[in-house]
Amino acid sequence: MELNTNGELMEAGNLKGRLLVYVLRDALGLTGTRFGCGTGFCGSCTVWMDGQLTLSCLTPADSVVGKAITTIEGLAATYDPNRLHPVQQAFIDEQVPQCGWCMSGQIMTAAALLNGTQDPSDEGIAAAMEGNYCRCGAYHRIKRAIRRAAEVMARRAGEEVQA
Amino acid sequence: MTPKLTRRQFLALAGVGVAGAGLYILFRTGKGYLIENFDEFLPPIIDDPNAWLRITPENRAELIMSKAEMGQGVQTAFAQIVADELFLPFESVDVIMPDTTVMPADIVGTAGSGSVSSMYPVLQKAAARARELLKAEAAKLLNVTPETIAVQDGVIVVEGQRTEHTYGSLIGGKQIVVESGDTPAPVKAVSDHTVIGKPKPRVDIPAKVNGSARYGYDARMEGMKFGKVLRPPTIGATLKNVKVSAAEKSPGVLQIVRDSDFVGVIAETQEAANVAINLIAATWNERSPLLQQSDIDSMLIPGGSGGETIAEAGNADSAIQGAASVIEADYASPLAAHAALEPQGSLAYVRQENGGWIAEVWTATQAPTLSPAEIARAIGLQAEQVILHNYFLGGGFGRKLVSDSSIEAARLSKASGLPVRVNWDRAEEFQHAFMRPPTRHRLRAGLDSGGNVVAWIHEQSSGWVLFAFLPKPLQWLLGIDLAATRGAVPAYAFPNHRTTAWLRDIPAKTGPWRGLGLLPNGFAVESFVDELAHAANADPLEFRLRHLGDDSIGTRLKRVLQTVADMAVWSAPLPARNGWLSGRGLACGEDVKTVVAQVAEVAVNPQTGEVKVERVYCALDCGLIINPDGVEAQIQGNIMWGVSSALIEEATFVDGKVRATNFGDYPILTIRQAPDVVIQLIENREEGPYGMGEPPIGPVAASIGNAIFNGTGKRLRRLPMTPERVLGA
Repeated sequence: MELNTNGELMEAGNLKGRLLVYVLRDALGLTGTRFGCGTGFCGSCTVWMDGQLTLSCLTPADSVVGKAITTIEGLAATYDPNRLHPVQQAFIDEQVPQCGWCMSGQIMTAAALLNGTQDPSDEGIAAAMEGNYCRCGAYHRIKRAIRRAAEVMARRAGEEVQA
Repeated sequence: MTPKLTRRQFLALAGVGVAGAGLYILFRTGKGYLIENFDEFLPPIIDDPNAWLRITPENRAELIMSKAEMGQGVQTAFAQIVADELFLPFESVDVIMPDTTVMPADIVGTAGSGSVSSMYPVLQKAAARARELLKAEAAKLLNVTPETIAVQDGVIVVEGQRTEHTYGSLIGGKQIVVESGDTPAPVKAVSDHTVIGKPKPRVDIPAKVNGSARYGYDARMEGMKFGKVLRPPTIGATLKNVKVSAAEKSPGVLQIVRDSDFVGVIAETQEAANVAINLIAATWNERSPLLQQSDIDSMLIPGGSGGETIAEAGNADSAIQGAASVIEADYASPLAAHAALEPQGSLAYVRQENGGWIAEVWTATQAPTLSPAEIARAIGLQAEQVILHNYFLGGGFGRKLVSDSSIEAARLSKASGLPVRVNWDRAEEFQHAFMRPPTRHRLRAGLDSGGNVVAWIHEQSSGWVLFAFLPKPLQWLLGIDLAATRGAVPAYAFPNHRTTAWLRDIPAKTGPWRGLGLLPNGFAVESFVDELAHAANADPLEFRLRHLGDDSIGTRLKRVLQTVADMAVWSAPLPARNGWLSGRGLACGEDVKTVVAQVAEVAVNPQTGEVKVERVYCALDCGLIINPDGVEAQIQGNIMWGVSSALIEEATFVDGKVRATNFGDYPILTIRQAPDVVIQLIENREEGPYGMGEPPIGPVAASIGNAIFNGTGKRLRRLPMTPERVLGA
């Protein structure tokens, strides 16, 4: 079976009985989507399905045939193919990751949040991000990076309107 | 004077390769203990530049890592040290994670907050020697005296003029010839540092935001198969018999491997392996009766035979009898999991090549040069036949000092001839990995009529931390697990004091967890100090300052205490909150010579017992700072670990197994519960660098408990400080 992943149709093999997280990681080699708990608690495996946040560890792979999957490897291209997504750049600028294992999930969740709202409140950030654990405790910097990315995205949106 | 073991005697007794860097080790010499820095007793780390550095023809330096990167920023700190000593821009250093055929031996592993403190002088010496040898080479070539030569950005400069020669053109790609008789090259003065001390961006971060970073769990190769190992249903159970026919017939299964108690499945996909392992019908000899949490708890009471006094001054027993008042309290901490978000995972390919066996392993371990021997032992090879590739660790925290998955993958690969990956799932991590041991503490102190401590007695018991990793003779020699007592001896200059520890061989798997005994002991010691201040009717800050000595540690602790008190405006009242009780608590401590003081501000809901940690202030002195942004990240992370442990985390045994199988039963701190953290680093370039991976975890739980007491009058003496316990106190 083929999966539409990061804008490309990719041959993923037999999907019967398979979970999206393992198909992405093992069949397609997209290991940027991480496995953390396998039960939907930790958010490490977060991807987008037709732009909506999806926990790939709970998603049967055959249920996403025909849908557009976006992983961390394809995130930048959804915004600007020539550079990192503003959320990724903000996570560098604020030096957020420590071990980094949760970061793909954090970034996918934060980017979806900022697609939906330009200027999230503290409560909005907490509500959106509380399903993404960070055992290293980079929470402080995650909040700062999301605010920084929100500013950048709002500014760029403003520039586009002017142009 | 107590006789001191020589290093030779010690190593003869200890064998090679035990314990952790920066740990203080106590020598039992027949008459008390001597406290020594363990580092002094390890073989010296090779400082030949060829072990650590390569210069490329493009005039870049490649830095060879033996320490694992698990998010602590060690690659960046090491790159800064090397860049500074080589007079190279930070951006011209590339970090290499080589396999173990190239990696210099490291008998400690990445542990004990010791990487920077132990490697700073080594990398400095190696880089300085490389620099001076290359300068001498340039002097010969240019026919000038070496003294006239300087280096700027890797370019040879003669009397202020840049030449066409660079490190790269002089040596690029070739070995630096080091004569054994060479005198060591001088290292830069601290005041000349240009890269050390600057907040350089972490070299591992770009790959961690675009998904390309490779971890042990991500290891893959052409033709790779997926392994899963049968686990005992309860702790200590041994396999009686096993029926594998249903598993063998399960779709995608390639082979079932059985080797005495070891049973594993090899399948085409992870899902197929996960399904098949549950189809194996096994019967087990289980412990009877099954282990319950109350069994563990009852083993932990301090007292009885086997206690070892690890620190003592004056006569605490007689001083306590003569005290004006005596205060007593018992403290406790539970089993705790590491819960690194990357479970452990390893790929192994064991094969015959050129007539001999070779085992290649891709994983993420804190002990990359120690693991090959363990893997080799499990599959009947020699350590030299194992090549280990170490990737990033998705969290280590002590858990990844032991790589069970490497051994399991190697066994399955050897039995099948296939490359096999064994990735543990979350339930395996909770149920079958070792944990932080539980502790109990009995504290007694005597105050004189002026409210001064005249006697202090800390009786502590703990499960094993590093003991299981020590050879039997060393267990006998020590009698006590030094890791379990980390942080147990107060830093105060009490005139009479005694700390006695009991080590309990509890039937749960326990081992190193971030800070080892530091958080449990820090909770007990610094909470009890707060109780004494209250009993003495003294301000907790003034009480601590009054009891600290004037030695180096005491002086530095006073400075961080005063700094954090200023940051938190300790003397001003906290603003009132609507319906919640506000409290502020102080705690401090020393670990691996890093000193730290924290003030926690909490809000407590008097109806529900819920505790919110609003803010933690932290002042810290770790001596010379390599990367201030990295130090701050470690403080932030340690504080989040401490808050999580203080308020939420507890593992319990029920019917022979850990109750938790996932985060639903064992929650960890989320972004919603994360406090603000306000940090001030003390500038102290006269000493260090000292460790930063763990010391800030020590005071966190105590500062929160002290803040709860300050806000509610309730003293919490058991971790975690859950709403039920707050209401019940």
